Amino acid sequence: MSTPLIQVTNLVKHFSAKSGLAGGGGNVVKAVDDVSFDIFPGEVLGLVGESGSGKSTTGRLILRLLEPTSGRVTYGGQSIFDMPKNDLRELRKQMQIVFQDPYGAFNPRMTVGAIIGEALELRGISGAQRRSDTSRFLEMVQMPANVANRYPHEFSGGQRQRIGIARALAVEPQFIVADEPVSALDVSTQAEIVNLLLDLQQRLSLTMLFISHDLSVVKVLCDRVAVMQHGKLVEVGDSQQIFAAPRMEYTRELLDAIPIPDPARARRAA
Amino acid sequence: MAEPLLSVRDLQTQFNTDDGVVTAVDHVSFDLAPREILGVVGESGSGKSVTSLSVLRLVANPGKIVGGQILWKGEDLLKKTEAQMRAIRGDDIAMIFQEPMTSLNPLYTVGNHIEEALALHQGLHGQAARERAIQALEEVGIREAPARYSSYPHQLSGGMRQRVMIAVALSCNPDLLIADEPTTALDVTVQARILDLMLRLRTEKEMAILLITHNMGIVAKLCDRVVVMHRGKIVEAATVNDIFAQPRHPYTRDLLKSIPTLDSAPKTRLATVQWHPTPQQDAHSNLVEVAPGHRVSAWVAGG
Repeated sequence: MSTPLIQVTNLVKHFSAKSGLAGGGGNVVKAVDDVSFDIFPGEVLGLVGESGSGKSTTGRLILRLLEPTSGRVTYGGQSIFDMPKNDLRELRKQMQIVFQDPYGAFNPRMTVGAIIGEALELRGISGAQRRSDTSRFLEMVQMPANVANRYPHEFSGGQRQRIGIARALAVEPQFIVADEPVSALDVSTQAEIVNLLLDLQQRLSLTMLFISHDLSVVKVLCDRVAVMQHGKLVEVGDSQQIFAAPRMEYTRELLDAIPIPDPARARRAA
Repeated sequence: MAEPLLSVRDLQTQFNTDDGVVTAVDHVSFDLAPREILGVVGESGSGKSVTSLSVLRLVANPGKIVGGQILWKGEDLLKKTEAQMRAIRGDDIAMIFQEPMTSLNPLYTVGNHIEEALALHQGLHGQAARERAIQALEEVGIREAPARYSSYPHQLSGGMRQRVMIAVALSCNPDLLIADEPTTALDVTVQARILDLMLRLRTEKEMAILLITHNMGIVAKLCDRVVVMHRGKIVEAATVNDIFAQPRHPYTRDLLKSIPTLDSAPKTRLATVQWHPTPQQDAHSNLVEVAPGHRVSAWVAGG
């Protein structure tokens, strides 16, 4: 096996929670509780779990969008939490994030062209090159070049997700965190975006952390799967092994809870 | 089939927008038998939610029901006065939504919600209402119901809130529960328990369920029959077994093929929905019966 691109070691993130109306208590929520795993170059690691399991927090810590309580994340051997701001800025060009609803992450007053152009600028691309690159990245997500003059609100959820992916790709990252990128989409649109991610990941040899609560989508996209529950890593392994023979009871429970789109089997399970 | 509980006939609901009239529900007809679970499936914009809101005459402006009949136990709901409709809503037909937090009043306790329904529809007050409310909470599987009776919505988890919504909806023993994406916001393990609860209550309470969903897995688990909607029209209607085993409409077929499942092949592209109606296909909403209880767009059947 090759050297990991990302190593997560004993990662911990606590949030102080003020419980109740009076704000008393001051409990600590262990959102991420001593989590360790590796992500290898060119692989898609699925990070699954239910709401509150800590999967999104883990994704944000790996990008250093959050500071950890303790623990270590290395990217290409460099510790990202010890990195000076300037080095971090350089590193960020190699890491991108795709959100569940990219609409919330777009400036509504910027055209699609300006949104992607801003990402290109990070790589020092301007002028005519910027225009042709914008078209190239739009084409990559199967959008016509003329959408560059339009605004995010003019697009459907699936089209917005394509624009969000184009923006992430424009930075030419090695690594992408995709946080529930298809959860808000209709079934038919979901299949299109899953196919797009699958194609792009293979074509560009992207390394990806795919965060999802939908194990069926994870099965299609991921090489390996990590399962989280209550901030802890429950199980990590090859996708095939996890789906065929999960070792942990909790993973089995998650798999069994998925309603099967086949009346004969769905009813037997019930 | 027994006398239908609900018979929707040629329903048309339109929205007047700045860009003209949008027909959200286009000549929709279906029957629902007592104790039957009917799934209405479709993607966003297919008209499935507007159909369910139309049944209760809850379509808000600029939406308007412009034609058809909604026969409830043989009587047309479109001819009822608003006062008569208020008596039917909650009492005969109850509804639950995707996000219970927006339907629950943050300043009301769990008990207040149920007692409000009981006072309005059954004239129950005081100790009798309290006992009935606690019983309703127990029926939906809420543990320590007497303690939860005094909780506020924000103190409950998402799954617990949906149970409370169901308890409120069922407190007046409706004959029909309309459930619009009732588990979409919930985790899968919680979803599985809520679906089991709905199946159990259907039997215990002898009520019918009109289930609006985009999730074919939930349809397979819960429904007796299914109608598939696309752009405001029903394109296919059949028993759940027929829909999955012998889908006739190209849209239904594409939709079923595009769903990722635990049997999907890893690292393999998913099938996508290829079918788009021609203007001619889009203009027609009539269905023909191709097998007993199996209706499909007339042009598919060659009619």
